[in-house]
Amino acid sequence: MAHEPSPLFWEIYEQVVADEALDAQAWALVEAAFEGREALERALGGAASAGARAEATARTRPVPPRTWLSKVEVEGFRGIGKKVTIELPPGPGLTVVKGRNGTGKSSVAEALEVALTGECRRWNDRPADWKSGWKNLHHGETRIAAAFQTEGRGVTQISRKVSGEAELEDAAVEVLRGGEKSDLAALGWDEALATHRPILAYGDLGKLMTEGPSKLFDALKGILGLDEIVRVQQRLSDARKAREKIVEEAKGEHKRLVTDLGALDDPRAKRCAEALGGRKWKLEAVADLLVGGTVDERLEKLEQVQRVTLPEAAHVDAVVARVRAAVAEKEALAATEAGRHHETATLLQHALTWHGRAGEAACPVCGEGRLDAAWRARSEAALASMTAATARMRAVDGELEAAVRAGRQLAVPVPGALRGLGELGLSSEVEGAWAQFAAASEARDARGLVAQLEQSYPALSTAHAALMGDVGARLDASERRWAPLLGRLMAWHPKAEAAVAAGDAVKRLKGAEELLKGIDGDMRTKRFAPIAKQAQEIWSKLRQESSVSLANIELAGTATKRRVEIEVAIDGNEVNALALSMFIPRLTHEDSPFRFVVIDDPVQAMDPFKVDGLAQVLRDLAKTRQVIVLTHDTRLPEALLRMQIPATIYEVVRRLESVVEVRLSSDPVRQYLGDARALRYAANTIGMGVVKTVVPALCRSALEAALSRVARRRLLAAGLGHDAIDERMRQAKPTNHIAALALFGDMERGEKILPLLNKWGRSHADTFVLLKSGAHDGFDGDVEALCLATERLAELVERHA
Amino acid sequence: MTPAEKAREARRLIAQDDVATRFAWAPAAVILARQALEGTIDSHYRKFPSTRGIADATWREKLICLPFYFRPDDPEGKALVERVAWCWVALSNAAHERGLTMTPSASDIAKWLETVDAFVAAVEAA
Repeated sequence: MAHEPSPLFWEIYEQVVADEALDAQAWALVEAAFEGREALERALGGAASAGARAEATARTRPVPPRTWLSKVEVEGFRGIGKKVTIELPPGPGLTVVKGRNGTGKSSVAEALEVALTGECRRWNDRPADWKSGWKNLHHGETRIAAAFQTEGRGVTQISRKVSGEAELEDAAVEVLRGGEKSDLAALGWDEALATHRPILAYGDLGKLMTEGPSKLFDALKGILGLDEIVRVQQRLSDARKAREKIVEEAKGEHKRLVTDLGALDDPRAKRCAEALGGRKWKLEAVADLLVGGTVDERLEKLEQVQRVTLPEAAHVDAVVARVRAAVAEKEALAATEAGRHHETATLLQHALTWHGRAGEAACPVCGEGRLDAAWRARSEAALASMTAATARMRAVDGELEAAVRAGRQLAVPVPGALRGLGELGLSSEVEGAWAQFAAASEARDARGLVAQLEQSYPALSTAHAALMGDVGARLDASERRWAPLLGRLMAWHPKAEAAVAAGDAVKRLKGAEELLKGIDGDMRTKRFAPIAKQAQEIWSKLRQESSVSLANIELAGTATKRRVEIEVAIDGNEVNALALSMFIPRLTHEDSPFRFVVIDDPVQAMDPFKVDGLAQVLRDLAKTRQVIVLTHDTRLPEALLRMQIPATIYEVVRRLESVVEVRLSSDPVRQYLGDARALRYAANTIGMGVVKTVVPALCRSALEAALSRVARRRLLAAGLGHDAIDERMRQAKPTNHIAALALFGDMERGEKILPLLNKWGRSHADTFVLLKSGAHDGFDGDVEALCLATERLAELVERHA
Repeated sequence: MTPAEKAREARRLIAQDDVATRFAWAPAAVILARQALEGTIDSHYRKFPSTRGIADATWREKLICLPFYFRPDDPEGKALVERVAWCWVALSNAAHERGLTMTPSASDIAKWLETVDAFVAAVEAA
């Protein structure tokens, strides 16, 4: 599978597999959701999950190459006209840019933000003319550039140039990395810029704090690196919601169906309603009904009744008439000669047959006459005339017999279908009428038959017609209402089956969501704990004289209820201090590639007692980060100086027409030398002994400050990582080592230091030796000369790099 | 009053709820705390002939020299010296009436007194 689990997944995996109470089914879904939507669908479909993961190897989040800021150039932008360049030592340390309000120092921070991101966040909610007022009126062209030192990648430079009437968004962007053309995307900073944006406008921070807990939550949650969990949660909830919709739809139709089925007086409807009435739908029973698997007896009986037919009235009349005609003809014929001769003819026929066999003889009937040829001739003639009449008589008999048979055929017994009509709720009148009609077949003679038929038929016909009317109505009503319900049931059935499966999946998904929620909470707590701790430490430093402690900070809730819970009661002024406490951890998170932090005007609205705390916070931060503070307030540089916190201080001064001058006001080298000189002038009070002990040590610190800065810059340029540099700087305790690192990039080349310094001038080597020994043994020479010599050597060292 | 006694008195002032000391307790406590800290620094310098001169110098000079003359090779000593420097800056700010400066709260002063007490004890023990 192409899917490569993220380090976050592995971290969670390791935690989860160690949990014996883990709901394995829920975890399988969570795991699939981490993989993606398709995998989740597969897992829900019952397909085997991705299977046992390969052995989880401990993986850590990759640390991006660290980046330091080395230069900002601004030209024709906001308060700055002619080009202004601020060079910064790329490495840990504190740099303060001080200047009165309106000197253009904030423009430097804004320019850096624009260089990095193309926009300036703090303008976002300002009026449009403010946003468009980025162009400096005294300068035609706008160019913003920033240079960075990235571990192992050399120098990265980003510049944006806007000519003529073009807007800032249309700036021509040029990116150089390690001397080669690159582009912003290739730097891989986009995410970090959003998550760890290294530029902090203090006023905006206060705003973020007061804008509400969910804003703050969003701003802080990003640094936890748990966005993937949010995406996975989304996948699970999307899958669940899609299924809930299926269930809801099926349930809605189910409710309507059950109501409608209940209202229908139909056994099929009743059975369906029963099957669907319980909490669990008996879908199979419904399916049987739908395919006609069960027979509705009542309905069938009704249909049987409906199939029962009655002879047409016209047919009955015809049969009756036929019988009557046959009877009448027979009676009329019996009264004629033919009728009377019928028997004589029969007798003659037999006599002739006897004479044919016996020949001439005496009459066997009377014994007197003689049966001779003459008799035969006479008799044959008489018989011929008599036979015609007899044939007629026979035909009349035949017709009567046939007519009666037809009459009896009409009078069939009561059909079985008409028995028990009462049970169906129908009138049984027809049954009696039919029995009367059928009784005709029992009549003694043809007259009786037709009389019975004629007499009983009208009642039967009326009763039958009434019955058919009832049955037809009953069948009609039932079918008319059942048919559409049947259609709905058939359409609903597959959806219901899907809904049952979906309902099952919803339950599983809910379990998975619950599990992931717990994991999210755990991970959040785990990752936020060090951040909260750092925030608390910063807060207690900032508010060092205050009893208001930041007891507990938590990222709580989710979705619309997300918030940052801070257990502290603070007033307006302190919001800024709290914001700084909360946001420094965000800026300085280990996952951020940015080792620099730009804080614009942190002293604003700060309680005077807190400036000392801020100085302490900045000093601690500057041990590992490049901290750049812009301030219009003199209190911070003052506090740094008096508290002997090493810092590089630039001063920004504004001349007419947007000409901004930047000059180095102080740096650690000058700070130490300033302290050394202060003592030198107090020699009369504190005594030469102290001066000669302390001054060489301060001078050596000044030189070491210069050497450290150069060493760090050299190692960084050589492609060494932050940790490696720190490690070497730690090892390089003796001045010799630091000097060798600074001058040759190799701590072991101490023996080359003096020859190099000698090349620069004999006195420099002497100064170096003096500072090394003097710091330990005291110093006997001219203190002022030592300060001066140190200053020159430090300058040369800086220039050498 | 010894520095330790001054620090104790400052603590008493911030702890009590006395109408008689309304508003006065804070500047009084700050002054006492500052005197306790400065007195301790001075007494530390006066202990040795070589550093006696520093006790007469300005506070900037005294603070510049402190890392070299108070447990210079002990990391804990170094950390304490840093706290002392910050504390002195804070007390000095609080003790100067600049018209616009706000009076520190009882908890602010209590926090400074922690540093004062720690330094007083450390110097006495030395």
